[in-house]
Amino acid sequence: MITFDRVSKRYPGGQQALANLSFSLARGEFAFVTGHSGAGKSTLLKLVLGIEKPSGGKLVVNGNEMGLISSKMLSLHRRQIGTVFQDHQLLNDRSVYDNVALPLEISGLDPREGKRRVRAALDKVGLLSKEKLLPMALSGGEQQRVGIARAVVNTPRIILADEPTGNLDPELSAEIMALFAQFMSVGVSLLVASHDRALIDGLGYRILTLEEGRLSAEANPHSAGGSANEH
Amino acid sequence: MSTKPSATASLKRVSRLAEHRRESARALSRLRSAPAATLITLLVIGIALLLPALLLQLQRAISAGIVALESEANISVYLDLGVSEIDTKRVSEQLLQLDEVDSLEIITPAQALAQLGETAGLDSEFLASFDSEVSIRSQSEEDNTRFSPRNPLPTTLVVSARASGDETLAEAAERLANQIRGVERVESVTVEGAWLARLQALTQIIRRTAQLLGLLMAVGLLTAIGNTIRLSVEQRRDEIRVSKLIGASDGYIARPFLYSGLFLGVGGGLLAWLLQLVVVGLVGHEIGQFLALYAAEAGSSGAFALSETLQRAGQELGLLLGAGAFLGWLAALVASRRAIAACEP
Repeated sequence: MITFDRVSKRYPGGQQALANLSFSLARGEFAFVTGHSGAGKSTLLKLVLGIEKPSGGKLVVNGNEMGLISSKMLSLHRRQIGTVFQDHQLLNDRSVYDNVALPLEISGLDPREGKRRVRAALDKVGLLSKEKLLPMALSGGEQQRVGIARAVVNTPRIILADEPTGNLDPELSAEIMALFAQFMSVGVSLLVASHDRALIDGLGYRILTLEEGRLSAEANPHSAGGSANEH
Repeated sequence: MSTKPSATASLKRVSRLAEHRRESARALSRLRSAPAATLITLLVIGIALLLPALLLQLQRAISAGIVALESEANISVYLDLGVSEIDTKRVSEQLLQLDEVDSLEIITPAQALAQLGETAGLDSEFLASFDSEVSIRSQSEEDNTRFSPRNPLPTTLVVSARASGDETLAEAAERLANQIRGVERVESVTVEGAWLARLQALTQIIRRTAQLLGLLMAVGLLTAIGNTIRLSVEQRRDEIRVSKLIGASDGYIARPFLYSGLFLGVGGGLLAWLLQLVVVGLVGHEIGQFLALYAAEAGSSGAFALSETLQRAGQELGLLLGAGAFLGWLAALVASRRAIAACEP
């Protein structure tokens, strides 16, 4: 689903964010990306989403080569990826329902058709009763769950999450991770950036550790503690 | 693995019409949410469209008046004082030979004096005594072919010019006048249509000014509407960024802004039309009087302009709405495209 082949990313200022990174994520696979801040986690997600382009190597996501993708294809590409942002990125002047419906509206789905899907997504994150509220009326954890509902409403093939539990207490964090695990079970690939080692170590999924833009360690549920230095 | 369409693509899509209805409703609600900015922009558009529209109307009203007057382009040919009737006849026959002469009327000094008395409102008794004195004196000298020097008015031939080819009547009259000046016994020649030519030149100036002003206003409008749209895009920068991140194309994001521009333009056009009706109502009477003055000089009944102007109101409305809509849409297209491209996630 996602294949990094010796990908590097250097920003115009000269800062090397990623260097010679190779790994791949299969369909229905759940992996964490971890590392200190500045290790390249955000850059990695930006490359997958096409916000940044790789400066070297080859990155293929859902069949699209990201270094060559046209801007027209890019918006189609993003519609097949559900993204959960650290700071929710909800539209504060639209209701919870309208926020979740936004990806469907962008895809041009008939609103009557979409209604069932929005309701299902909100039901899944336990916020169906709050669909008419504005995001500001919700708690941080609830806003994050609205963000998740918006990410999954379009039945994406890939879910990206950037520090989805960044501001949440451990209990809520565990809840959100459990929610992600449910999507994995229906064949969605998940790539979640998190620095919360205590949380993700206990879950038993694949963990990619970045250090100064390189893959420094890879823990795997199948070969626990296995390390793969890619040079 | 190739990119397959996402699951939503196979599902029922929203109709184009419903999509546009939704986006236009969104644009309207955005405009309503900032009433002060919307109102100011509408006023700017309205006034900017009003000025060239008014000038064009003025030009058209005067031109309509000119068309009504143009058939009256006359030349007054004044013969030498004391010219004989035979000479008068000879000159008039000579003039009638010319191609450019349509018709000719002879006004004797006595007739001219009577006319003068009428238009100047002189006491009819005084005039009668003056006339009889003339005739007495003429009789006493027993020379009917000579008029008394007491009557200071010359024999006048009023010549109507006829235009040939693509020449305007005023031009034909001018050329004819030059020809007549060379004729024997002709003292002087006046083209009565000269003021007409001046009026025509004036309308040309008004027209050119209106066109130039319209062009400048169009540029100003593009800037003003574009700026409003750009601010509106920047206010929604976060929303646009998020929309882009979840796969909205620039075209999709631009659509409500294009509707905003369109609505502002149409609203401004409507406002310009209403303002124009008010202005025409206020000064239309004066324009009518101004034209009536010229009509009196040309001896034409001259019922012009105002009623016609009002009849044209519908046409004007269409023109103003069309101009507003086009400029609003164009400004929004250019401004939103640039502003949206600048909102990179």
